[in-house]
Order: sequence, then C-alpha cells, then structure tokens
Amino acid sequence: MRKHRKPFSALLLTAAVALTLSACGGGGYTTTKEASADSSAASSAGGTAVIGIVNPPTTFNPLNPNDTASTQAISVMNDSLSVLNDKLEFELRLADAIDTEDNRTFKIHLHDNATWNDGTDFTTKDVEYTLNMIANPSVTSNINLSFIEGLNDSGKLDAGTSSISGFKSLDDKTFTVTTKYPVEMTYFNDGFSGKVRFLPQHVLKDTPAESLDTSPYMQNPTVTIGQFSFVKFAKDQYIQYKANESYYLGAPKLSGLYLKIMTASNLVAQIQTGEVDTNMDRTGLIPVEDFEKVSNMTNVTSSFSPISTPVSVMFNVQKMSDPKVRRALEMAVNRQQIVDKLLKGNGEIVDGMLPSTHPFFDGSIEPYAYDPDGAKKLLEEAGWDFGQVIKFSVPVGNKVREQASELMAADWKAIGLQVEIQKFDFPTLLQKLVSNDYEVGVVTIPYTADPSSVFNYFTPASAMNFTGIDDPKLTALIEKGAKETDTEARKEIYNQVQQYFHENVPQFAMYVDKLMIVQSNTLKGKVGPDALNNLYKWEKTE
Amino acid sequence: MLTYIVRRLLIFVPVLLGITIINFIIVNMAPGNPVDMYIDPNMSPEIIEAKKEALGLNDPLIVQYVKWLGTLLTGDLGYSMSSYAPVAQLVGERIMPTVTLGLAALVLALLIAVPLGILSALKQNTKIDYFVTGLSFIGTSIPNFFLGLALIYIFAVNLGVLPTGGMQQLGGDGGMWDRVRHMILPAIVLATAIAGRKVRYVRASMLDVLKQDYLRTARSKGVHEFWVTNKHALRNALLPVITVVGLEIPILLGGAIITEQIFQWPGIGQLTLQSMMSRDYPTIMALNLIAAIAVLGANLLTDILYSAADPRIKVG
Repeated sequence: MRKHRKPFSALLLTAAVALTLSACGGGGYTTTKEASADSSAASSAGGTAVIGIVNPPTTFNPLNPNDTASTQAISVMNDSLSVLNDKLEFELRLADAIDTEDNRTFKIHLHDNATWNDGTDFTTKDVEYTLNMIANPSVTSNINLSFIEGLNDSGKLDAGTSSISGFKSLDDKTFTVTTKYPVEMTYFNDGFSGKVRFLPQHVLKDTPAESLDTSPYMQNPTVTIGQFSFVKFAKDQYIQYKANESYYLGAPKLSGLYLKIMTASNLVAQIQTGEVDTNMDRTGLIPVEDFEKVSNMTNVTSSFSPISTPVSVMFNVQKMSDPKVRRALEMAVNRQQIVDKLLKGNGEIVDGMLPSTHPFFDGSIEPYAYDPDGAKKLLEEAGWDFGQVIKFSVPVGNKVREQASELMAADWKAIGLQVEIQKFDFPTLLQKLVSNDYEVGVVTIPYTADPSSVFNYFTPASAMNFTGIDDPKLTALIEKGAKETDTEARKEIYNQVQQYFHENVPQFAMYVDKLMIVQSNTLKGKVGPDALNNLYKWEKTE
Repeated sequence: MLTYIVRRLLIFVPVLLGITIINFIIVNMAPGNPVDMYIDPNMSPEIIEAKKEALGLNDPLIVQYVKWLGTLLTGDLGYSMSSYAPVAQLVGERIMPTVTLGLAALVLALLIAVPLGILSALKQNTKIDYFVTGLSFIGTSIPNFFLGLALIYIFAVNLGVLPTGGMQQLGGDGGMWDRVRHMILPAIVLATAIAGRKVRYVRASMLDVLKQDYLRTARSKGVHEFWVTNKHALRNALLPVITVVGLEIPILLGGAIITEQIFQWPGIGQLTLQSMMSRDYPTIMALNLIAAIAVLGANLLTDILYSAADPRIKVG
C-alpha cells in the first residue's frame, strides 16, 4: 500500500518568525546588494543535486498547497516574505524588514533586488494581487487570513467588496498589513509572512478568479521568484528545476536540482547507489529498520533531524468523557518500550502536542510514567465498566505508527480493558475524526513555530475539532494565547494550555520519532529541515 | 464479421453506462471526500461547506452523476479535485507508459511461456517436465514486490547495471535505449507472473492436442516431427491460450499497481492509488471508465482472434 502520507497542510516550513526578530525589528537577517552582486558574478558553477522524496506533490499552486510535499516543491521555486529555520526561528527573505509599533499595523519592505525570474520587478502589486486572490471566494486556498482587517471569519472578502481594507501599498516596495486585533510577531509571521507565496501579477492579471485554480500556470509555473525555476514535472518520477540566475540573494551554485519521487525502500537503495544526494525532510522518510544500514554506508553521512512531530492519540471526549479514564489509558501505555524497541532508541516521550524542541514547549510537565497498576486503580475509581469495548481507530500507511498502536492496544488489554483495533486508510480515518465518529484514534498533527497551529484543533470554532472538546476554560485560554502580544506572557498562557492537556488528557503523544537525514559526501551544504532555505548555497563536487 | 463487430460495439454502450453507474455509487460510498483532505485547524466550517458546494458535492448523487455524464458526453473528463489539473491530461500522460510496459511484459511472457509449455508437454512426466512446471509454480507464487525488490538489489544496487526505477534518466533525454533499460526490470517482474500462469495452459492444451489422430496422420504422411509439433499441433493448442491471454490485457492496462510503485513507473496504477487516497472522484471515474473499455475491448479482440485462428469458429 501507499507510503506514509501526511496530507495536512504542511505548515512547518511555511511559517513563523524568530522571536528575536520581533524584538529587533528586522535585524536578524541581512543581505546586502554587494553580497548579491558578488555571487551573481560567480554564477552557477554547475552540478545538479537530487533530493529523494517519498510522497509525491500534488500541486504547484502556491495558494493551495494542501500537503507537505507540495509545499516543499513550491518553496524551491517560490520564496515567502520570511522563512522558518531548523531552530523554528525566522529569517527574512522577500522582505528585508518587517516592523510594527502597535502589533496591529505591520510595515513590510520588500527586498530591493527581488525580481521574478523573467526579469520583471517584484512589487507590492504582486502582493496585492496574491492577497486579493486568496481572499476571493471563488479561489480555492487553504491559507486563512481571517485575522487581517477587511476579511470575514473564513478569510474571504464579503460579497460586494473587491479589495482588502487591511492592506495598503505605500510605494512599489513597501506596504502595510493591519490585523483585526493586536497579535504577537510570531503569530503574524506564522499566519502571513512565512505562509504566503506569491503569484506573478503580470502573468495572471487577465485570468478570471473563477478559473485561477485550473489555470495552466498552476501546472507549469515557469515564472516564479525563488532559488530555482521550474523546468518540468515528469509525473510520479521527478520534478526538474534549473538555477534562477537572477535570484535576489545570489545565483545558486548548482545549475540544476531534482526532487526524485520513489518508495521508501527505493530511497535507501538509491542513497546507496549514489543516485540520491539527500532525503527530503518529513516527506523522504527513511524507515527505522534501515537506520543501521544507512549509517554504515560509506558514501553518505547520516544524522538526526532536530525537528520531529509527536504522534497523537486523540480521545473523542464526548464518548470518553471522564478525564480519569483518559489519563488511565495514558498511564497504561509503556511508551518507553515503544521508543526503545520500535524506534530503537531514536525518539522521545512527551505528553502533549509539542515536542521538547519547540520554543513554546513547557518543560516543567513530567510525562505520566508507565504505571499499569495505577491505571487500573484509576479506572476502578472512575467506575469504568471493564466489559465495555473501546474502539481504537488507527490509520494505515505508516508501519511504525501501526505497530506502536498495536503495542499500545496490548498494554490496554493487559490491564483488563477490551480493545478493538480498527484500521482505516487515511481519508476514512480523517472523515471519522472530523465527524467525531470514533472513540480513540491515532493521527499525526504537524506544528509550526506558533503554538496556535496545533492548539487551534481544540476549539469548537475549528472545523477540525477532532476531540470534539468544548470546554470554555480551554477555549478562553487558546483565544487569549492567540491574542496576547507579549512573547513571555504568551508562553505563560500556552504553559497553562499544556497543563490543561496534562490534567484532562484530550490527547496524549504516543511517541516523537527522530527522523534520519542523509547527505552524500559529494554534496556540500545544509540538509534536513533547513535544506530548502539554503539550496542556493549548495555545491556538488565530483 | 463486420456486422458482428458493430453489434458488439453497440452493446458496449449500455454495458458501459451500467458500469459507470455502479462505479459512481461505490466511489461515493467510500467514507471521506476531497474537501476533508484540506486539513487545517484554521479552516472554518463555512469554507469547507462553500468548497463542497462549489465542487457540487452537496448535490444528490443522481444529480452529481448526471452532471458528470453530461460533461463526459461533451468529451470532457473534468478537473481533478486534488491537483486541479484536467483529468484527460493526468490520464493521458500515464496511458502510454502503462501500455508500453504491459505489452513488453506480455510479449516477454509469451516468449517464455510458449516454448517452455511445448517442451514440457513433449517431455511429459520427465525431469524436464517437472522442472518446467516447478518453475511455473514459482513464477506464479512469488510476490511481485519481493521479486521487484530482489531484482533492484541485485541488478541496480549490487551490480549497478540497471537503474533502480523510473522511466527515463533524470532530465529525460537519454533516448530509446535509456527507456528500454528502465523497462527491463519491471517487465521481467510482470512477465514472470504471467509466464508462470501461461506455461501450464500451453502445456495442458498441447497435451490434449498431441493425442489427436490427425497428428498421427501427419506423421504417417512423412511430415517432419518439428512441423508436426510446431505447425499442426501448436496452432490448435494455442486456441484456448488466446482466450486467457486476452484476459491478461485488461489486468495489465488497469495498471500493475504494485510493480509500477516499486519501480516508480509513471503509469495508470500509480495514478489510481493516488486518486483513491485523495478521494479524487473525477479521476477515479475516468480510470474506471478506461478499465471498463479495456476489458470490453480485450474481450472483443479475443473473439475476433479466436475466429481468425480457428476457421471452424464463426462469429456473427
């Protein structure tokens, strides 16, 4: 069957901003015209690199990248105003300054050298066009800008309006965005600067909004603004890019780049044969059982990614309504065994939605230890009927996740619970989660630099409220967290949210697995989660 | 003959219509829908509803079907609900790879199966016979994915003589030979299973024919044994084989999903899997339609070939 797929919108790479940046207002990343000129003169030295990817991208539409692989394929050729690095901090890209006085009006200056790869200057007209398209009700987009003034709760323009009142162009390279309420810089960048990628107004201005989704440009986006330019997509085989010689941060050193699509077993084989230089972060997963084999290969070096995503066990709180029962189910699971045996030690145990490497992770929370006796006692206290069968919904596609779910079910049976595992393909499971038609389920939810990216799943306003939770206390905390503008105060609020999760257990993390990153000896440059930000610096030696 | 073909083609129409109706119902009965795949906590229920409305997913099933059929009759297969590419383009790009690989596998399989089947029949109950039937058993029972991975390991990773997968080298201007090189391993994997099944058909059929009186007559007239076997016997022995080979064609055209995936062969099988995983209704329907046409077409072709091979059989 199919490779593990995470069709969640992959926010991780598209989002967020450095906390430091919010403090010093654009000083974190500097590129000077001199530097650009130097590297342009050096031009492409040649060589091509190949990145192995297991999940094929489905679209090149920057307004609707509805899976991780698509976002990655798009970000090779389209920059956002700022990009997320592997420390979940922000670096400026198409913008060379993002400033705000009141946390409501954000003044953004575009990079002076930024031009589309056909030579046309990149201006606020492109920004305005793109935002208008995202906000147009007839355009499909999974980018929701509802926090910007002038847009409704769905992030769209109301009928009868044709422009966004929260957007103002000051000159060709400067514009402001005004939000409905004050927001912290991370929140703004997570939802806007790091998320939006742009469409060339000069190419698409005559395309009616109704036919933008199906415009030929989306299949063949040759005019873009990024490190590399699109050459072709050989379906199910590879995406071919060539260096964008006019890239505003300096022409890439490579002349070409490929994202090569293959199965996980083939990925390992091609790493061994040297056909692949590195694996894509999160969408080019190397199977755990091959870790040893890969680390013994002499033509590559391997390491572990600093970024990985917790695999969540979700409770439908309407059916599993007693927090004591949910906590008991968490305590009954021997998570150390999952990490030691299944992940061969390459993982960590946390309680909630965020991994320990996340800036908003509350390190003071001690995950529940494995305690089958305590769990049983807690269940008896809660008056649990041990004859009741718990239906446990597990998605197929990721072997480790399936096996871990089976181990977990065995742990539950060991304390006398009746568990029935039901396996579903991902779309079916998703449908069950969305409609709250399950009792206990497993799902992986990606996070971004802003914690609201994961905690927004737990409010009744979200269409994706998997747990069905509707606790005014939690909702208030999450809303307060979103609207707080002081970083430290936000951390404090999200600590309370995490504390709430620890006590009430609407969800707990089964494990956080470390992802292996491979780099061939002939490839020089940064790989892993930061790879796509640094492609233009990559070099290939023979 | 011509009226027969025309009549058969006319029967195709109601049959196809029936198939599309059943498929449409089954596809829509599967839980989940294309819009649910837009998963994002910031998606409001309103956007989801609006999107469903725009794609027509809220219409009654019968209305959706009639709309689909209506656009189909104008020659339009619609747009994919996941990539928004025209379905005709998505499918069109994948048909040739699948057809080429399928035909190559079929030819290769017959080149292996027919001589081995004859040999096995001629040497019935000898060590050669046991060896060949044993081989055919292995061919039938070895899983595609295992054979595929094993071949990749041996020929691509260890010996480095053939590529691990894909249809052409990166960049894709390696010419004809490059494509052939990429096709060798997947064709062998597909051919192994087909040949395994066909050897036994050829053998059994040949054994039946070899007992016939007319062969003794031929021999007594002094016809050389080579011609007795390969001309007089083989022609009759191949008749039932034509039928079963005809049945292989739709299987191959439907896309050898596992083989295509292991070798990243950009064919129909891969697309089928992707469109099912994203509940991409228009693409699934188009693929079903093609599979149905392939089955019906292959059946017709089999009947025609049958009458061509055996003058006693008259169609019409």
